[in-house]
Amino acid sequence: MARQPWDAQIRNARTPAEQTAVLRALKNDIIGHPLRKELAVASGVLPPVIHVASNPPGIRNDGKAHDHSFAAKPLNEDEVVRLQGLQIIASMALGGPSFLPPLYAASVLPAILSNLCPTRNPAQVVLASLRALSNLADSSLQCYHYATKPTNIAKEFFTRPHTATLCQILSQSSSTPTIQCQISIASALIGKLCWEESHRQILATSGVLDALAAKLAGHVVAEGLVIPGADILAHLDGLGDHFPKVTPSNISLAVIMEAISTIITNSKFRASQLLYSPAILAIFPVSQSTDFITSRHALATWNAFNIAGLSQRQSQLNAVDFLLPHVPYQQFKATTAQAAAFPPLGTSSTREHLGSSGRSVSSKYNTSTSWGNLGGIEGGVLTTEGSAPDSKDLESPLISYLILILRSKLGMERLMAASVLTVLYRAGLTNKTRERFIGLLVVPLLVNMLDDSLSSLNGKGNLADEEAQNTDWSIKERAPAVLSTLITDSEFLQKAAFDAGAIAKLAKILKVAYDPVTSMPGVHAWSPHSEDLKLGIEPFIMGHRGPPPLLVHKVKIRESTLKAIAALVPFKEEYRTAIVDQGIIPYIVESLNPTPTKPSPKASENDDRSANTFSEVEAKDGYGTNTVDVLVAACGAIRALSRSVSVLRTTLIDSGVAMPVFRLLKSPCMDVKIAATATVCNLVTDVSPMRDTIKDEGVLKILCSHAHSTDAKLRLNALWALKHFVHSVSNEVKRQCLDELGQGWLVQLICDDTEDEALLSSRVIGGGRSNSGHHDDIDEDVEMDQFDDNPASVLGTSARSNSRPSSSRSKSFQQVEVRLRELREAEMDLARKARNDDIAVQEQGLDFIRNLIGGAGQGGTKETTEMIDFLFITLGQDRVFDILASKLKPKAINPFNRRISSVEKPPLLPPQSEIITAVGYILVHMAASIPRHRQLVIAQTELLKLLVPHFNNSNIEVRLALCWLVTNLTWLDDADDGQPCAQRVVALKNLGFFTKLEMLEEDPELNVRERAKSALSQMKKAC
Amino acid sequence: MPTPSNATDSIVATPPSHPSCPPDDDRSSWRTVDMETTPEHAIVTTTELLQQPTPPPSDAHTAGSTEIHPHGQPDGKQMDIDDEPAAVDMLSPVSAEADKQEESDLRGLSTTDMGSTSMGYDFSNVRLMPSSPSSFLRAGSKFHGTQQSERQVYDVQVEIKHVDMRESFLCGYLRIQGLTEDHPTLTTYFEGEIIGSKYTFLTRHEDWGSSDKVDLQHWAKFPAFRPFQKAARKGHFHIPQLAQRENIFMRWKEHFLVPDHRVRTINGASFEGFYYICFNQIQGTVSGIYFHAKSEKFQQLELTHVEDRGCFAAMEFR
Repeated sequence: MARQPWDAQIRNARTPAEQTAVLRALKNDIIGHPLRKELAVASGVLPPVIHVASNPPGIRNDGKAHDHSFAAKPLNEDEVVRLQGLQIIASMALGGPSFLPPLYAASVLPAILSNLCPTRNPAQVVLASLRALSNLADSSLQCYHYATKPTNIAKEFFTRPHTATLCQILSQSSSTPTIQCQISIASALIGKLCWEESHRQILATSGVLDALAAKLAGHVVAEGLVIPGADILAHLDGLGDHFPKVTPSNISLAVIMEAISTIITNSKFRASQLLYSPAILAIFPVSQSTDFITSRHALATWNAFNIAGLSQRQSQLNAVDFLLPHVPYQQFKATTAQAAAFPPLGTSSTREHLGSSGRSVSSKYNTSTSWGNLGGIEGGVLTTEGSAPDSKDLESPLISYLILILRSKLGMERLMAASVLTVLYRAGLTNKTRERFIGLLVVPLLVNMLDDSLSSLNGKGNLADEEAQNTDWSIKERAPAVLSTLITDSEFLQKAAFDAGAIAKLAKILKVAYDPVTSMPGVHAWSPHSEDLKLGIEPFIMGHRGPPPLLVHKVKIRESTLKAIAALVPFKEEYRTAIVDQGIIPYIVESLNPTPTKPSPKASENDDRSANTFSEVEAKDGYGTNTVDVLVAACGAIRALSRSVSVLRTTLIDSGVAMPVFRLLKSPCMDVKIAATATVCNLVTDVSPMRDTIKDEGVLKILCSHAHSTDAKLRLNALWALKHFVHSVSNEVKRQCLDELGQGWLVQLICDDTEDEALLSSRVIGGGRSNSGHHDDIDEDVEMDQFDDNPASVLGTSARSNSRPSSSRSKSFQQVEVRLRELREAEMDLARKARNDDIAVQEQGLDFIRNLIGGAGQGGTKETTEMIDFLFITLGQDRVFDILASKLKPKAINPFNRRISSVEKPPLLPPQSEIITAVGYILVHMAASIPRHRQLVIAQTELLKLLVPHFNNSNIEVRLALCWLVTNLTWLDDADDGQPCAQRVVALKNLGFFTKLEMLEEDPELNVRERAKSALSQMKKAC
Repeated sequence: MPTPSNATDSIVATPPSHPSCPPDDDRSSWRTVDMETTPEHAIVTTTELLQQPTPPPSDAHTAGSTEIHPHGQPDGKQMDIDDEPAAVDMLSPVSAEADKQEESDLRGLSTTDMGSTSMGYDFSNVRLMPSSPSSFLRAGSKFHGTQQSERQVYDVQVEIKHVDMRESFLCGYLRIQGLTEDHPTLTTYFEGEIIGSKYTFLTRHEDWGSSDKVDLQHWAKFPAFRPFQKAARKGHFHIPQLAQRENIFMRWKEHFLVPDHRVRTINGASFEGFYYICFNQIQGTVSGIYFHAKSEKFQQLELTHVEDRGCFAAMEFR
């Protein structure tokens, strides 16, 4: 007798009991047999299985919710059928990437998600559907092609009804293994699936983050590390209900922390939400108080400790800190001595800021470049300084706790603690002294994790081994990325990583990541259908097999290693040299290639790889396909390395970096284009020997077209590169460049607030495209609604009244809500982002003009004169000066883009010092030209008037530019110019330049004083 | 770049009689006197200087010190071996004027994040703003002058390509003419170590071939070095407020040829030594002494700044 095909059997089954029997038989048939799975799919088994597995909405919604938390009630027949179905789906999903297309084609996701709700489904069914989801996610992650990232799952999963479900699952407190397992898998799913900003936001506001925080807090309780007296404080403060229950030990701390760090990353607001979530607040109160120290003895110890030379940190210490090693306060000599002599990078009017802000260098790094300030509050309108509650500056004991477990645990737990700590640190939520702690206690451990090898496998390929290997891979893939995020923009931490030997380790693992993976011949078995069929459209046709898992692993390692390199070397020549000395530049250059081959030290410049660059080529030769993330990271690493004239002129040119980067300029992916264009900025400088190569390839056209992009970042980078490009080239090339860019467009870039207006119009029209490039995921309107003016609703959807304490009861919670509200306002301020984008582009546009007409002072006057005239002819003489003047005027902030609907007139934004400097030097260049141009500049009375107040500008460059301007305006070339020159001096005096210059003679900066003196002496001479 | 290497053996050092370095003209005389009085302090307090850069003199707006002083030592004046007499009662241009308020607003905005998300969250968003102490010592500055050996004078041009004061670093091209017949012009890439915070007067490179003695012997040829003489010997040394000083000391070391760095050797010339440099910020002059164990001793480099009238390109590594 011939057996009926599975699908027919399932369809023919009349009763649930029969269905169950068939499904069970099918399940037993396929589990562990990849070939049988394929056969079953080919025979069309998926649609009926998925059909019976789904839980149609509304049927059992009779108000009598299941309560599975205590009773192990037997499942009813329907539920058993669904359970079997889900288990089959889970088994299929485990089969690897090739099973995904048929599964999706049979709409597996809605079926699984319909079984997720714990109030509507028994615990086993919920667990089975979570497993199925998890397997689907795993398989998706196994293919590294960007398109198949599990975004489709995430998109369905992280939406309102399901996030509530997720929250319910995570909040369950039962200690039965089924429930604990649900919680573990659910949190792991977040770590696997949550990649997008919008998903993070949803998870943070829908209560999922709070639920996870409660689990983390439960772990703290279980370990007995609650701050002494916190329970009393919590009760006094109305937080008693939120004091967490002990989290059972079978829920892995690592998984919880992974989910948390995934959600809070890149946002100070979300990171603060974690610190201020009720459970964390209950065990780690932020407000410090010694009232809880009841015993005299303890108080004495406390005081003794604080008096013992630690008074500096007194207010910063919490009980958990006492469990950490003591970190000497002054460890910093070399770095600060240096850094102190010169201001930190990136601050615009650098020296002045530092002095006046009175913060330490380390704090400067910590805060000024942290995410938190990205959306800082401008113009003092909404200032938080001073008005904020005390808790603002106090560090949560959670930080100390994380450092503690980081030091006491191993493996994934250590890494994930580091990951959460990294987010909090980069968000600026740690104490200023923490940088030292992290540098001495955390960074060396992280660096060690880079090449910690797996202890030993017994090689029999059993499940435990596989598990251990997965963990090991996972750690190796992530440790460099965590390190990278942690040390970005902190010179002290970079030094700590360097001293711990990070460079040699990174070099080693990057090299290993380019060992070819030979795909084992045995794996590719015969399959019941021809490979030529159209793939993945029908539910019974298998998709592509993914690449070998080892290769996927290596590609991920490449990405995170390159990121770590990019984070380590941007500021120090020594580190760059160390990278070069490791001989890994060829590997980095190869990472710019979407389809890499064996890295070789001497890359031939004229290879013809460009032909099929972006076609989805099968992994050849075992080197795999470099994902978009790898390409972006490689661009970042090359960019950091190319900040050195020496490296540019030696290793980088030898490794043939120019063409791979050049090819990426034309990538279809926006992120790659942006990163490659940024790298090209350095490759087209006048010190780069690659300049001519890519010039001949036609970089000019590409850059000019990128400068027309609707993406603000791409525009910025392209204009930046063009600015370098037109420096010290022939007039012909300069003219060509301006023609290609289009004078109209250049003027528009400089004058218009493109982003600001786009944002405005998108708001006015309503729902128009959000123009800030990558931020378009933020659904402003939806988010806005929830956060109205009612502070009580700041922290989440009001539906879950229970998960948050009512603010009337808890005083500290009221403060917290105010604080979170401010943070959120700042972070969501798209108008501010748009304005910054605009100003950054405008600065580059002005600098472009500056370089276009540069070089006058050094004998090239004729050429320069020509270019200045060309500029006047192309743009229009009056227009040029009008543009310059307009940039010096304070700008009214667009009232419609402001959060605060104030009746007062909109605040004025003074021009940025970078903009003034650029305008100043354009005028300097003009005035350095022939007398005719000098006359033109001096005739711009209005423009010059606008400059006068900037003699008091806090930025040295601004003051210098003005001194040079006076020098050049009063320059006497020949006797013929004598009379006009005297007139120019009189004009300048009348405008008040003379007095201002006399003031600059007393400037604190030697350089400014000298320039002012020489300008003054020239003025006096001319009279 | 030294003079041709075959000329080396005939020369015996004639240091004392040789008027070594730049003519010590009147510009620095009062300063020298002024500094003579302070070096004792400088030496006494060297160790403290290491931990405590000078507090900003009365006004927070000068370049430099931003360190928090863990145990307050308010009297920064005696440690301040700064040669700027006017520093104390100087009017800050900011505080002097009524539009201070506007300035502080501007500052609040610009410190945070000019375009700082432009590289995304995964990469550094800190800009590498050029930091240079002097209008003469910045990317694009050119110098012209001579290198003088016992027998010959060579034409030398230097162009600074990049200056990073935070890293006490600069680099550029050095072009020498007429050194050998095969190569009428030779250009090398050199890097400079600026002495002050990161580097001391003692050369800490074994492969450069100098010793502490050689270092001090060469530095001693610069009159401007005198105030630092004692302290320099100790190795640990830190010059606060470096950018505000008249003279900046450096070591310039040539590394490879431009344009083709792969050419390692040139017949009749080498660039294995290095220069001791004293740069005068006010005049824009460079004085240097070439040192290489196998080359003629005390070859002098004298350069003056080429007027550029403030015409610099806007260049900033991304």
